[in-house]
Amino acid sequence: MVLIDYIYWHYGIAPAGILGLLRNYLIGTWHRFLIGMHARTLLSPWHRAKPSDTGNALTFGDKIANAIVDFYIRIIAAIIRLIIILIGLIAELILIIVFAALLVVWLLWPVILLLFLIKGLSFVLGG
Amino acid sequence: MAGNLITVFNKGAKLCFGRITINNSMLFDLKKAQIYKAARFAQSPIWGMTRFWRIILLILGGMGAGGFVVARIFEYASSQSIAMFGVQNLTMAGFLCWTYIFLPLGFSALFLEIFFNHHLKYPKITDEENLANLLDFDSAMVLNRTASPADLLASIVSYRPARRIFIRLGVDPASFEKHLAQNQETNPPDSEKLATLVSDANELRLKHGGERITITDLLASLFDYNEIFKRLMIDAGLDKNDLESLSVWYEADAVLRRKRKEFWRLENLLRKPPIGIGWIYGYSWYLNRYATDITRQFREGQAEVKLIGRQRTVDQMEQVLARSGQNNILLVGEPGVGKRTVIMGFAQMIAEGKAVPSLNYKRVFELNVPLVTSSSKDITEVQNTLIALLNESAKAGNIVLVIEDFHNFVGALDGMGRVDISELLIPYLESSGIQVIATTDPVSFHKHIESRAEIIKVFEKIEVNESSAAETQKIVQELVPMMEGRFGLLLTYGAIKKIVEASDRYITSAPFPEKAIDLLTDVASRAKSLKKSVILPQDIDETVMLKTDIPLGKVAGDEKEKLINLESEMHREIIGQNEAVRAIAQTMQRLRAGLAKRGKPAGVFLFVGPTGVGKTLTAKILAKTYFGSPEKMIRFDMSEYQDAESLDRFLGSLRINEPGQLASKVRDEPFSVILLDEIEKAHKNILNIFLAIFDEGRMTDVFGRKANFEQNIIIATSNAAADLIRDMVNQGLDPSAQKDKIIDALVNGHYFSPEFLNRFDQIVIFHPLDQEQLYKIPELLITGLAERLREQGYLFKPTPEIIGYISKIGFDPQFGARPMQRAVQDKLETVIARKILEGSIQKGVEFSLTVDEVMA
Repeated sequence: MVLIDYIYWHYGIAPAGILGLLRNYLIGTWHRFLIGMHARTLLSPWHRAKPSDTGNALTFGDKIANAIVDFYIRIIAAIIRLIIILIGLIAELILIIVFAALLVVWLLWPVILLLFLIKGLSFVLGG
Repeated sequence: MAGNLITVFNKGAKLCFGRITINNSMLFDLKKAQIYKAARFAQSPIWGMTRFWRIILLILGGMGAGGFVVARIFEYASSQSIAMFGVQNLTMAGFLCWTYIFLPLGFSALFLEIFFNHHLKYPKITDEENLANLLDFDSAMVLNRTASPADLLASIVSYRPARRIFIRLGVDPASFEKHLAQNQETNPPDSEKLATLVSDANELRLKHGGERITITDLLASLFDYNEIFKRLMIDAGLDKNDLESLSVWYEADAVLRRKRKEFWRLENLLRKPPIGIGWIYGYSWYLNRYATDITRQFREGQAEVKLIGRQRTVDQMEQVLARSGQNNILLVGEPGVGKRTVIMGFAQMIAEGKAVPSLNYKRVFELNVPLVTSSSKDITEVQNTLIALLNESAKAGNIVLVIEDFHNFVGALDGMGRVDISELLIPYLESSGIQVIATTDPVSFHKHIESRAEIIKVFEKIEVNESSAAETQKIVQELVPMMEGRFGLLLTYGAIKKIVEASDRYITSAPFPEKAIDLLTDVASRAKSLKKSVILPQDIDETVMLKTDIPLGKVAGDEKEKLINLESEMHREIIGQNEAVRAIAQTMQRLRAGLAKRGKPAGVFLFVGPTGVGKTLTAKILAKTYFGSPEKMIRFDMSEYQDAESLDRFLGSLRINEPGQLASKVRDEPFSVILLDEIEKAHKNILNIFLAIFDEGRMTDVFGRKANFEQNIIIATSNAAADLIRDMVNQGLDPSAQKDKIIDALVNGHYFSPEFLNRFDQIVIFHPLDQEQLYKIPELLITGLAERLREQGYLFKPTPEIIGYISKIGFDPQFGARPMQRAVQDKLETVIARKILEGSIQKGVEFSLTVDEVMA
């Protein structure tokens, strides 16, 4: 009786649970690496800091210098953000691959179990 | 036989249920329930060994896989095949063989465990008609080995997962199990009664909204079915409602623990803050120096706040802070009501990303204003620092500033270290570039803030009210595990309940929940110092007694004697006035036996009678005899409170900025006699205030501070209608028998209104003292004088002649005992004082006085 329940759970409920877990981890990773927000603020100033904050840009030359420094800071900030976005996306991809493999293994588990046991026993019996 | 019966059930060898119909729409059939599969499977040998085999097989399989990898690396590195322990067979193929056999078997065992723990134990509830479908796994396990309500207790106590409930109830499960085995009578199986009990447990589940019937639900219902259990609970000071509360507590705790353990849940995965969230917002150098980031502890998972009864306030805060425009909050609440907890709860919510997106992951900084003001001696520099800090907060874009006790920094400077930051702050608050949560108390709000329209305009006021007793109980319950862990002790449920009850009733110096939390801390510290490991309700009584001087707990020893003999004890110093003494003594006995009504003063008496007959003395003697000291009497001469100005003094006034004498004194001495001398002379408004106090047992002064009168005996005295009483005595009538006429005289003479007189528990008529009683008074007074002298070392021996002389010269039926007191003072005390100064009386040498010496 419990065996039937187990089979029903293994094939009827658990796969949906595995997909649910994948969903949770994908959302969690997206959140952890803040992919959306980093993408939206990719070119924003680092910590909202601007070179002009340190003093008044009185001359045209000061303004040009500030604009150049600001540009460089934004570029460096964008690179750092891009790295984080990239790591996040790779993590998402790995998750998808791992969970897909897990789902396949899960669904084929009785076969895998049997094959492994036969293989193992063949080692024992075959010396 | 009884023991055998229990043993049989404990082994789970017998299932006594068949299909039982409870009513038209409900039946109980455990065997047909989904959970029965789990209960049966849990008892099978397969499940019993699964965990063990899972561990062994995974270790062996893991070792095989590890060995294979190591062997491959070694082989690759040395280009040689390896042998293990010198045996050629155990080469790489050997490792692979291990892995192929043990690892899949280990994983299969793991899957079986997951199946059981996450699926079989929590079957979907499809058919609520069969009550057994609503049982949780533990309840099903227990009921699977039970035949009748009488056996259920033994089944629960022997079921290991349920033992912690008994420990919390203050019962040692092992010894209780033995006790049950020895004392329980043979009970025939009674499945129908047991099914009715489960039905009651289901009612309870519906009441508290639980998903399934738990063991605590069964235990709470067992209260009505098992006399042994009922007696045990009553002895522990608990009733069925307490068991229901315990059930709710443990179930909520179990659900929370389970959710926390399931790390794969989305809410747990989202708890960690995102990487680089701070890069979007500005730097906070000034804030890091002059403020504390209270969201950090939640981001790092170091702290956890559970909001009980405060979720609405936090939601309100979220709404205000999330809206556009001016969005600042002023939390107004008494010190100790939990304003800080509310802020912490809000900080936790946004740190965990559970608020609206515009607030999520913001940082809540608690501004240390004194640190800012002490950063420089120069006020301009301080202001510049403050401006820089506010600019930084506004620019950062993710800062919520908390300023506690905001009233200290508003208004004119009137002390060292005080600075009015409101002038600097208001432009920022108006611009919506910054969000502030400020806190204050109602008194300071009325005093310093309410009149400042520009401040009121930029803040949204949110009131934080005192928690209810039920909410406080939950708050204390949440704190108990932490307190137990810190002090290494156990609080029984009776003790937890008692903490809330006792702090509600006897501690008036702070609001809920602070006073209950303080008491919990005091109790735990005291238990630690006494090296106690289990805290029982009587430990709470003892701590409260130490804190308040209020006698609590079982009446025993000297106190018992004192209480029983209170009437005769008081009569040793009070001549006559039997009715008054009896009324007071009976009230005290009721109060100490715990029969006093809640929400009213312990006793309210009006003593009416001529002057000098012992009205005030009776109150004084009560304070001395029962409350332990004459100092325990709060006396108000009500003739001093006749005009409007004195009203301000008595009740407090915002105008003169002074708290009222009545509330202050009662808060200082919550367990005392309050004497309102000559109450008929008080201002009418004061009498109106007392009308409410007599009715409700509490008052709130103009500053919003509460005073509780539940542990006070209030005695009002009045000389009104004294002439009528004297006339009655002269006519040979008993004034006590003519009480109605005296009350009519009090009402008709416009001394008191009928509704005011109606609020007294008893109106006691004090009789004028007759000659015989008056003659007893000098003896008492002179004996008292002799005792006072003995304390100084002088041994005065009163003679009958002296007593007779004082009786003669002090006798005045019009003024009662007062002339006697004056005679003792004028004649005896003066003469003795003179002799002491002259040196004619020596310490340690007995002396007496002659009438001639006294007359001289």
